[in-house]
Amino acid sequence: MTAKDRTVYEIPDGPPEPTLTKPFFDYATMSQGGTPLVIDNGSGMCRAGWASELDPRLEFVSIVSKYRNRKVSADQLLLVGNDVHTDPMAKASIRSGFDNGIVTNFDVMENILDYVFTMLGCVDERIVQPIVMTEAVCTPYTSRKHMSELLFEGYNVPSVTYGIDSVWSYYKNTGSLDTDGLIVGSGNTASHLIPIYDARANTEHCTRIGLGALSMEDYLLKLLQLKYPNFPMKITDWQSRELVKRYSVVAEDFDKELSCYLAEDNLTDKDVTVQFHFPMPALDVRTEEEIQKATERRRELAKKMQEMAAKKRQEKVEQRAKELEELLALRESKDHIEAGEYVMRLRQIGLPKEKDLDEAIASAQQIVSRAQNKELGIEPEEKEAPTFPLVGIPDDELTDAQKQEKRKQVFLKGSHDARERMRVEKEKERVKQEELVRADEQRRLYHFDEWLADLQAKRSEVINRIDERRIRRRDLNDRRSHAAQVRMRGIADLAATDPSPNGNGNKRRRRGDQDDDFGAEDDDWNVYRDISKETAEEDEEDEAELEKYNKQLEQHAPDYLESLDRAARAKIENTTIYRFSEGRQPAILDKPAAPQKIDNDVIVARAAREYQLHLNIERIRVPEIIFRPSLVGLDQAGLLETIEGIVKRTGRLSLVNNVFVTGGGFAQVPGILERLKLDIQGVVPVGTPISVRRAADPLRDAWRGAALWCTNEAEAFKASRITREDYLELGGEYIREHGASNRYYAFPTNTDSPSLTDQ
Amino acid sequence: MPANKRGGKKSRPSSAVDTPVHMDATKEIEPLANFRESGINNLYAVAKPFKRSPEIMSSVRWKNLKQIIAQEQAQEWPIDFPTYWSIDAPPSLLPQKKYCDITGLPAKYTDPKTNVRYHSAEVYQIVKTLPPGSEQDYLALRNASVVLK
Repeated sequence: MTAKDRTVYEIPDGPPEPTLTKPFFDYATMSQGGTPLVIDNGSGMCRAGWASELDPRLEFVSIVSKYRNRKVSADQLLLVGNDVHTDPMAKASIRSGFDNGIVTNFDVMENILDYVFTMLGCVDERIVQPIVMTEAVCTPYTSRKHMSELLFEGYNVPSVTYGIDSVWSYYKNTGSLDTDGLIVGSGNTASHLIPIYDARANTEHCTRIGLGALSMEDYLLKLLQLKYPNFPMKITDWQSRELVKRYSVVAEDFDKELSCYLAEDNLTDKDVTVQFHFPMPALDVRTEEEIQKATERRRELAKKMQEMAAKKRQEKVEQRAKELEELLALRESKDHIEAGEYVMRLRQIGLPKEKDLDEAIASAQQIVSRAQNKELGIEPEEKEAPTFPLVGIPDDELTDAQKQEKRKQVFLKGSHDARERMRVEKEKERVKQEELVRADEQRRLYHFDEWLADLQAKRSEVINRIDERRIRRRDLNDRRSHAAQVRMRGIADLAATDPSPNGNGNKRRRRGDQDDDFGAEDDDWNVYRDISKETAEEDEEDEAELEKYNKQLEQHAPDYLESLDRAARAKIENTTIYRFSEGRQPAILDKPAAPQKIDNDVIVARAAREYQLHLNIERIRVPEIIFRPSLVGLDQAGLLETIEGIVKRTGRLSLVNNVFVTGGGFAQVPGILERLKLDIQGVVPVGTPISVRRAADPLRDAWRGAALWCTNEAEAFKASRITREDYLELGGEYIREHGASNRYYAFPTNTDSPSLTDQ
Repeated sequence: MPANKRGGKKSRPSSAVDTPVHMDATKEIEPLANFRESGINNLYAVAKPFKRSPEIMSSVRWKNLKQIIAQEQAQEWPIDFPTYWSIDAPPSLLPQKKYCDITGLPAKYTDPKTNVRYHSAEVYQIVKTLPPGSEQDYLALRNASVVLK
């Protein structure tokens, strides 16, 4: 498997920039005959439109943003729904009116309703349409009271009907509520299980699991942040949602799939590489020809410089020659001119004595002749070995001056001999080295295998040494490690016996001074420096040696280094952690043994890889939370256990023959139907008919169902309307029950609770 | 009811520091027809003739769900009447399988020092080298982190 046949999926930075939504202008025609206005008021998405139509007119995220943008105007601005994303300034003040699926902020709700009515084109004095609106299962009275209040007081609507979104979705897909079934309605923040029998939603046996689309998105985001703590960019909520939507799958058998998920074949299949937008690295875009030209130019430049330097040298030599001539002329002139003038001339050129003149002439002559020789290609001949005639003669045969001369000669001879000895030794060493190299060469030519094995052994020895030091260094970071303690002991010994340059250290010890004043003198600290320098030097030496071996191997056994790298890569690639975080990508070695060819393609690929992440176990781990809420630390029964509970409580096994999955949360994840069916099979008696299906459109069917219900169940719809009179008489929390609605319990009027009256 | 008092005049969230709700911030209000081509770039600026004078509306416009639930729980509900809090799924009675906090694989072991669950010795190497404090991030995934107050 190479990098090329692995698909890389790209993910954009954010949603495509929308344009402002245009309002409709057919309110007058649409509203004729009291067509109900249907609003699917979900916590994630809001959908609104006319009951007479098949699809909602408006579909937007349920958010508003009140903000100021000085560039546009000084006033406060208000954007609702998808329009919020048209202005980047609005981003910071986005708010939702929902708290865990329940409307709690009615300022936001009012903005949303304003938006709905305005966008539908309402320019009348009041809303004359009956409103049909979805609400959460078992909406708290307080929330509904405020909603009714807003609708009746704020917009003066004639009537409102509340119902449960997923039940209407069921209605849309089943055609009626007469068929028994079990709804799994999974929304943005929670998933509800509602049994349908007796032609109505039985909320008294309903159960809510506090997990929805948002939970998956949050979980994946956290997982990825922990998996790639050094990821170069911030993964946004939107991106996380996209990733969940695109790549999450419900495992048929979670534990079984998990156990082999990181196995080679499976991972090749299931691992998803996600490419985030990455900055293009600066590249060398020159062609081969251009590169060649550039080197040519460089070479020419160097040549020119050399020429110039030679010319300068030449000039200098010429000048010296001229000076020499002048000096010689001066010496010649000594016989012709007066002595006084001669001395004066000497002084003029900075030579106070005649002897200095001779010296100056000698040195100038030497320089000139050397330069000339060099030009003519004559090597300076070996100087004759100096002789030391006086050394062998006994002192008493010499005069005082000769004695002095002899002392000098003895000294010179000593140093000369030492130099000679050194030279010979060096020569010997060189010959030996050459011999070694030759032997090595011979061995390579005639016993290649042996030679190679030897070299390999030497190489691995060096690597071992380097590794050992690296491990030691790492251990030293931990003060309590064995290595660190040994080192400390060593330092202590060193400090105790190390003679400081001024001898203080020893004196102190000898005095038997018990006070350990290590560090009182600056020199004491050199102990540390010496120790650390040592390892650095060793490192350098070994690196150089390694380099040498690598060069040899590269030259004579190129496959060997490749195979080393391959083995090193395989070792990394086969670890659980690597597979988990990098999938099946080839590993990048820190220090590859074989030389690497780094061209533009490689540079781009590496830069891209920095911005890649891999989804593998997460793909099944994230949606699994609905079956095992304990995965995210939620102490609630999972989906299957809850279904079991409902079946037991209602005593209707037939419910499992019509399990209906809908909503924008887990219902969307592929594989959930199969998993549910399998799981249910495991807990019901053998042979029980089981059927699990998904809404035709899990997102829109709630709205469509509500619209359809208004038309097809006209009588029920009529009976379910809460009129303005009902509202005034019975309070905002009041609802008229119908098949798709919540239950209503009227508190006895005499114990009217203060919490339900206006505060 | 204490929640009542607190929910009195000013119980809006801090983010709701803005102009009163029913007084549109923009002075120039234009009819909807003016936005036919452009779309609505400021909902405040659109005339909304369908809206009624808002004075009668209750002053409490925002309250968090916890407060609402606490308030309603205090009332006497029929025993079999479904309420927001009564339909919450009960705790699971099944044994809870343990999964590796790092990789998500089945976890056989738990690190006694950090309480992080891990899959194998290899993963344990990662657990050992976690920067201090980040084990809490892993534990937070399953709501098991130590919360300092």
